[in-house]
Amino acid sequence: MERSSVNRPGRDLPTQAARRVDGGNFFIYALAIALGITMLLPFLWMISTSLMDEFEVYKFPPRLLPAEPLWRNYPDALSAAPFARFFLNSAIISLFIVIGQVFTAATAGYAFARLRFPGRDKVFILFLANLMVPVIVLLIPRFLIVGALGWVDTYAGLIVTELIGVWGIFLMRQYFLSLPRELEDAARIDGANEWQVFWKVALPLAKPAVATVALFSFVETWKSFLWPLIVTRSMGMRPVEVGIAAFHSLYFTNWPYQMAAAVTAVVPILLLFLFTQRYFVQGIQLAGLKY
Amino acid sequence: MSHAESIRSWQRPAAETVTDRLRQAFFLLVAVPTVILVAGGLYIASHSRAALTPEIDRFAAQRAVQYFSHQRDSFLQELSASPAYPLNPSRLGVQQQTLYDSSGEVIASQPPGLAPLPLSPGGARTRTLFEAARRGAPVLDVAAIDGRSVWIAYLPIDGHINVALLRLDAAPLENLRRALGYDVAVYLDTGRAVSVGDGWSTSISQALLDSLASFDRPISSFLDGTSVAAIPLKDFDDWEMMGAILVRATDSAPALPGSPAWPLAGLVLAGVLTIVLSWRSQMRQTRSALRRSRLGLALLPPMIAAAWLAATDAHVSSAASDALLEMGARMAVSLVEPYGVAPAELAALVGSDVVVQRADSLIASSSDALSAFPAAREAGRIGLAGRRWAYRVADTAALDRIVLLRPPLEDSRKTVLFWLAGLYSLLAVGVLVFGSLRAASRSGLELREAIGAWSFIAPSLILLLVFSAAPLIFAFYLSFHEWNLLEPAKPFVGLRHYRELTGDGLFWTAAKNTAVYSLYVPATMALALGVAILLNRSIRGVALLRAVFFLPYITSFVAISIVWQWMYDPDFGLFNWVLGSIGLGPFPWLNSPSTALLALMLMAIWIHIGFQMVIFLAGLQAIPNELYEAAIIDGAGPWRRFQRITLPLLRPTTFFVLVTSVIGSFQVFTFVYVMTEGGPLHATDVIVYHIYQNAWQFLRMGYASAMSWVLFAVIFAITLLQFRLLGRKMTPS
Repeated sequence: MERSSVNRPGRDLPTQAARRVDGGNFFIYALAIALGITMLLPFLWMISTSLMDEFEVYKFPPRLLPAEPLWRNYPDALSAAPFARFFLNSAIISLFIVIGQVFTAATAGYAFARLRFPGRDKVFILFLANLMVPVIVLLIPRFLIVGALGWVDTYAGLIVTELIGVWGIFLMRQYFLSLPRELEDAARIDGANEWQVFWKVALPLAKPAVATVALFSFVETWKSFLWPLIVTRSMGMRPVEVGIAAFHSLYFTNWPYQMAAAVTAVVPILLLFLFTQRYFVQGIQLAGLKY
Repeated sequence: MSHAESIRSWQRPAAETVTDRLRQAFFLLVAVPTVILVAGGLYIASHSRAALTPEIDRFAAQRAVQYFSHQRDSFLQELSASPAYPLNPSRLGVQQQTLYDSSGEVIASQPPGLAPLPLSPGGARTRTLFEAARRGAPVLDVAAIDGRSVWIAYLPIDGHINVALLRLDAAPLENLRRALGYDVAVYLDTGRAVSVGDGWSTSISQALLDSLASFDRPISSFLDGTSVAAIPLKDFDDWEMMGAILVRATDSAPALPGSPAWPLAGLVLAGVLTIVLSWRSQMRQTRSALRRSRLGLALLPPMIAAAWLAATDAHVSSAASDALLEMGARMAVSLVEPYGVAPAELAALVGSDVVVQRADSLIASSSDALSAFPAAREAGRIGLAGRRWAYRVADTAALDRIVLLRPPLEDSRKTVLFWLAGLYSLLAVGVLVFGSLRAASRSGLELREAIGAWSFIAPSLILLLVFSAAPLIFAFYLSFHEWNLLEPAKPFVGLRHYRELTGDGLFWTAAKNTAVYSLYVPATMALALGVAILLNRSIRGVALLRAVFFLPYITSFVAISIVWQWMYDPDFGLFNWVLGSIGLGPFPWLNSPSTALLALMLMAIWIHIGFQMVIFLAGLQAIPNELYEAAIIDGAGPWRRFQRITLPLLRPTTFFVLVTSVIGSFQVFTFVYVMTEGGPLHATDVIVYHIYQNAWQFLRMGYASAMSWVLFAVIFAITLLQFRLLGRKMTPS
């Protein structure tokens, strides 16, 4: 369970710059780049189609690039459905869920890692057992519970079920275990209570883990589909993913519009990913391998 | 426990007798309120159900089916008994009839001299009705010909269709036409229509849906023109027809009394009593945590009872309100020309009491609610026996809105019950915490540390209990009940759903498809491992390449699905073009049952390869470099090194990736929902999609829960297997 034993690939980012390309690497480069382009192809195709004329796409052989980029597709497509509202909804939901998940993960993770109390292991196993339960089993009862609370088609309904992530708790626990506890003990001796120790000493040290949990809960929330699909009814409450799926079924013949919508949905996550790639990789490896 | 032991357990030392008595007394104090709670819950539940039963339940639904088949039979009898079979103009008022063959060609027409009926057998609506008639279902339709409303009967005769124009003189038929309008054809088209029998006000019922769902049995929507109106129900996306509400006038709607207040008061009292007593006895207890855990156990029944009671109650009301909300929405839609029928017209059509009634006094009585909508013009009782109130708000001149109100009692009662359930949950957590703290102080641990710990864990624990643990149990409960959102009655059906599952061909198709789909996992793993090895070196730009592979996994799955659907387009898609340029294809991809699942799997490989690569990379980097160096010194080639070092040392990683990915693949939903909707011909119908459909499209939540529990069992077994094989070892290194 030693964190340090995992050789994080993220650290390659700054250190590899000075390496030289030698002859043996040429083949590897060629292969890797070819594969990389294959991986990117759907994205490129998506962007290209999004700039085509509605009827230009129905040409054979297909055009790889639009005859003339039709930027108008974006404002047109985005005004064909309340996309601004979709994005706003996604942002609101994500904000609350990220805050909630970080809070629950940090507090519970800290307690499981650091504090001794009778029943700790049993409660921890209860949390872990939750990982085995497929979400679909919980979906119907959660829907009924949320419905009974009158929260169907509200932000509360979209948010409340997602406020804890067992995975995040686990990750935070692992991270706290890897930190030295001397500082905390020093703070206790100075008379700080447990919450002060947590807020002032432990949590600041765990910023990388907090960032990872926040990032993952954000992406998970942004991508979540089934629960928002079920719990929203009106167009005005739908987050981006569900909104785009509805848009897809409404404009199923107009591919450029759909592609423009798809690009719009992909871009925020893409930007986030580009700037925070390191945490993603780290998070997946932490969560994946320690579980 | 052996006999001797059991005797011994009764002969405890005298010192313990006092605490034992205390404990017994305490259990009594817990048990009595529990019984009260359960009894109160039972009472409210049975009372609510009893009040609803005469109006909506399965037996009534079956009676309705019988009613309609009887109607149909007598209609047919009437027809066949007439001297001029198939139609007797004198009795039925047939003005004109035309005999078509099944393809829509005119064979004969009566009376001679008149042109054949101006129907359009090529039209979708007529074709549907023809088809229904050809399968032995006499159909009555309402249509407008030359600006006049007419009844048209489609009757099967020796493989031909006799279309008869019936005389119309009743004025409401014009309204009825507008209410029904396009619906008959749509009902028949989707094969699911709902009608409701004599003496009903509004309802929808699964039994009726079932009976009308298949064309195997003759179906008929025999609607007599004076007292019936139909309101179509669509799904949440307004896309598919789920059924219809049929509104029929009744002389007096049976009153649905609210549950009396005293069981509720008793509940609250019992709850408070339990809390106080358990707290007091807790204070007196001198024995260890064992007893407190028992206390926690003892509190479970009242918690469950309260939650169950709350759920029952919420369901009775939410089911009714859902149905009515749908109806209100439909009514709002129906205001739009050309199909429209205004609520007032509908009310006139179905009688004065049931649907919408103008009653200005209501505005005064619920003035608070109404004041929020200054534009309110009309208010009236709607639907289930006046438990709900509806009023129209004129938003604009073009579109009216129907707003449904619930009586305040209902809301407050629901709130109280939920607070009660929440209170008990909190109490249970509190008792556990308290027990833990006592144990901590006994065993010499620092009390303040334990207090702090519980304060850290409490939010997560409560959320976990409320939104994960409770739903899991609730789903199990649901799977033993017939649970239709629109039907207040949720009867216990025992193992029926599980038995039904074994014989449900579609479920097994979905299971098979899911299993086949999960085969993308090994394929992806092989590729991902290859890529991971390829990229497990410090070369310039490797981070960017890794990012590129990882990209699909983090982006929007819906967007990806749309893009791939476009690339899979058989005529204009990228794939067929590329393959065509090297002389392959064209392939139908998503459009054919034989390739659709494969197409989804290909996409899944593309999506998951980066995710698996990242994990493999971590595994690879945990392998000490010295091993490879030693192997190189020993003269081992790359393949041999891979075989002898990489693979064995990666085994835990590989196993982890396999298990988690397979579990993930069992839960695929988004792609299927966006790209294929389970089609074509159920070729991509996977378990989770099947569950979703049953729960939210066919509204069979009990049955869907049974399926989800089966899935849970399978996943649970796989996870246990994983732990077995991996042992307690969780890290690969």
